[in-house]
Amino acid sequence: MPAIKVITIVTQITLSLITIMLFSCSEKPADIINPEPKKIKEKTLTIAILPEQNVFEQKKKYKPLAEYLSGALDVNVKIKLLDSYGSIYDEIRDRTIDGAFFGSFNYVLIKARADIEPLARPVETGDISVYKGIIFTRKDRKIASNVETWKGRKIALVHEVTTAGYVFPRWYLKKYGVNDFAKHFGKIVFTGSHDAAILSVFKGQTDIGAAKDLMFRKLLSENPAIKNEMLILAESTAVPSNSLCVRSSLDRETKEALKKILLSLHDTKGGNKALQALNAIRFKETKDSEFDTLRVMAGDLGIDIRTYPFRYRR
Amino acid sequence: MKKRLVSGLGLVLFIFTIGSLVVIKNLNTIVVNQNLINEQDIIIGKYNEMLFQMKGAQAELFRHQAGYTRNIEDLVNYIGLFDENMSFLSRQYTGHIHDVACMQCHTKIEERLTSLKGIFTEINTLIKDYKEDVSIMITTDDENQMRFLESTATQKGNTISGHLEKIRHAADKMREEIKSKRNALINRSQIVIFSTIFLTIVLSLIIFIVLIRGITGPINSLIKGIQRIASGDFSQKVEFRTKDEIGFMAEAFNGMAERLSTMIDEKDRLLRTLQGFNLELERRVKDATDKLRLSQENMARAETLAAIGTLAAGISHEISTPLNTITGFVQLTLSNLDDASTIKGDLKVIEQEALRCRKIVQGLLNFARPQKHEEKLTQINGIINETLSLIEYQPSMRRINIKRDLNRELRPVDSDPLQIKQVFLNLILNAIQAMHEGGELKIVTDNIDSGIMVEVSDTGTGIPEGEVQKIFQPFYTTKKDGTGLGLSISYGIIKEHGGDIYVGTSSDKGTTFKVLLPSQHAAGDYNLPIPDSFDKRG
Repeated sequence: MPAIKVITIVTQITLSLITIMLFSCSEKPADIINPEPKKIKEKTLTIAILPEQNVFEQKKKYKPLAEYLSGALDVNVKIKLLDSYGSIYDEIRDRTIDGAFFGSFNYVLIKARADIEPLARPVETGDISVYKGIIFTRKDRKIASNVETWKGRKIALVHEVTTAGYVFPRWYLKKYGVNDFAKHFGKIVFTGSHDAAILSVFKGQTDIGAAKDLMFRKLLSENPAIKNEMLILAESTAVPSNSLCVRSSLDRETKEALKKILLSLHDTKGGNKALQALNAIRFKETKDSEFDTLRVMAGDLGIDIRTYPFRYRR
Repeated sequence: MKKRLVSGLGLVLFIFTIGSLVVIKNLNTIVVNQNLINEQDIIIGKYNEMLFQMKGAQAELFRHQAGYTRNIEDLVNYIGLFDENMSFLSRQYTGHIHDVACMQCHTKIEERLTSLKGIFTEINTLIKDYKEDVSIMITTDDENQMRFLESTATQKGNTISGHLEKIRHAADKMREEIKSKRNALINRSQIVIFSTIFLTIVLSLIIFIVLIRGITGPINSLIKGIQRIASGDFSQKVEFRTKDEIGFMAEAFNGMAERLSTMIDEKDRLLRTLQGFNLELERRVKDATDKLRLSQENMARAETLAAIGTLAAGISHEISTPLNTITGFVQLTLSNLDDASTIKGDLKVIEQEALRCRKIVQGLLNFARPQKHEEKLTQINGIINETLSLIEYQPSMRRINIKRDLNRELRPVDSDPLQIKQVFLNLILNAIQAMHEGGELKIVTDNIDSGIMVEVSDTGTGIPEGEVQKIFQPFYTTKKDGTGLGLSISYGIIKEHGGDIYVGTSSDKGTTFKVLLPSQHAAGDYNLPIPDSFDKRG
């Protein structure tokens, strides 16, 4: 084969390889994120959340549910964080919210004054859909379940409209003969949320605390250090956990659709994701009669639920 | 050849591939660096966002605490977004600890990322505390706690902002460093690309020049070898050092040249052998021709002798009668003369000469008309001994030494004993007469293939060269009183017996007659061999 021909062939091969190499060297440019434009929805359904625990955690916890409901209901579902248990009445009254996850005592109080309907509540792992009020202390405080040992102590409560964080400790003390709740303790601190009350006791800011058992156990499971230090002094009977209740004035279709979606939440992938964030396995229907025990408890304490004053901070 | 071409091409491709890989690696590093720069831009953006969010949260907190608003949504949203950005940055840095470290200044980047990880952990702790403080603060009814938490939350928020500014500055610095590295890599890649292309071209050219030389060199050597062989020089071989196709071809060519050389040597050897054969053939043809010529001469002589014999017989017959008459009348006259008669002596001479003439005529008749031939199985050794006994007491034998070398196993032959005895007597007498001063008479007998052989040798003066051809002719004699018929008659007898007679002579060794006789014979149906040393035959 003539040398010139060999050189020609090799040159052609080399040039082909160079071309292939150059084209094969191109790096795929970074993906440009072009999110799908959100569909503009006319209606908005605002659901309020009580600050029963860390507000930031609350927001995070309910966000997937809001997103799922937005899609399922084809309305903008907005989660509104409230800074106080007491503010929920005003929001319902002013129709700035369409519904809320009510605490049990809160529901009893507002139901007595405004037209609201309970729809459903989450059932947590272990088929738990109720909670108990607990009274707790630090082990090193040397406080016993005998209420006499509590005298003069500093107690952390949640809010005056909470069952676990106010009604139950009062009812418990009254049961053991302490009629003047305020005088029995050295100081009463309203922390505003259940986890704040628990942390207050754990940090030693207060001696005794009262909060939801579910919140207590959740906090303890997340913080083993707390678990070893804390001691439960008393437990209440079970009451329904926070239920989604809506204004009765809300249109019927929305109410029914909302209830239906919540009750079948565990049947869908998105619904399960929302349930997971809530640490729940499904939703169950909540009936007004389930709160009768609490109404009795309030009656025992002499609370007139129709006139019971909501406390506002400042 | 193919191997070399493939190897050359492979080497070029290897160099090109290596260069390409280096370039690709640099390009990848550039892309990675660019991605890192883009990422740093995003990160810096995130830091800015987080600073904004933290400051926004602080402002919202202040507004809430001051009673300007009961809405905590914005505050929570700011912190929520801050959390999301924080998670994003944590994932980003954690995920890059390994892959960034292997592409960049490993230790420094890892060190920085570790340092960042520490700051992130601190920010995460602070933000967690901040959220707890804020969460409690906005819900608590305790004024002191609220104030305390407000103060600590603000302080934590400021600390977080300070950290964010610090790491934003670090990220900005890192981005500038990566940018510098990227630019340096781009410059280096350009140099590598040009160097690779240049090296590939130069090396390709060098390799192909070497290859072409490697191809044409052995071919030229092969062509020269072919030309040398074509000119007849088979000793030269084509030199080759490679084991490729050219090498195999040169090796085969050398083998072919070697075989060709061997074949030519063989051809020369055969040619020489053929020439030897030719010479031998020529010699044999010459010998055969000589023998044929001798036989023709013998035949001509025999015909001459036969003609002479016929002539002599006729003449003798015509002469014998007047000779008998002359002899009778001379003898009658002599008997009638006295001793004193003067003519008596003359008559005596006439008588003697007449008798001599009659003897000659009788000889001629014997030569022309052989005596009655009666053959029988005869022991030739006995004939020879009888002959020798007849002459060994003669005075002339006193100085002659007789030597017999007679084969005891000599085969008997069909012959006429009287005639054979006459032949040997003639030969022996001639031998004795040739040795005037004495000598040795040697008689040898032996068996030959088809008969027997008898040699009668003397150590006399031999026969002159020019006379040998004439000794068997009638009347040829060198003796004063010889008739010149003895050898002629002997020749005739031997021929009559189907044999042959040869003579060998030299002046210093004497003369040898060799007589060959067949064991059995019929006229003309046998062929006795001619002895090698006897080239003259009667």
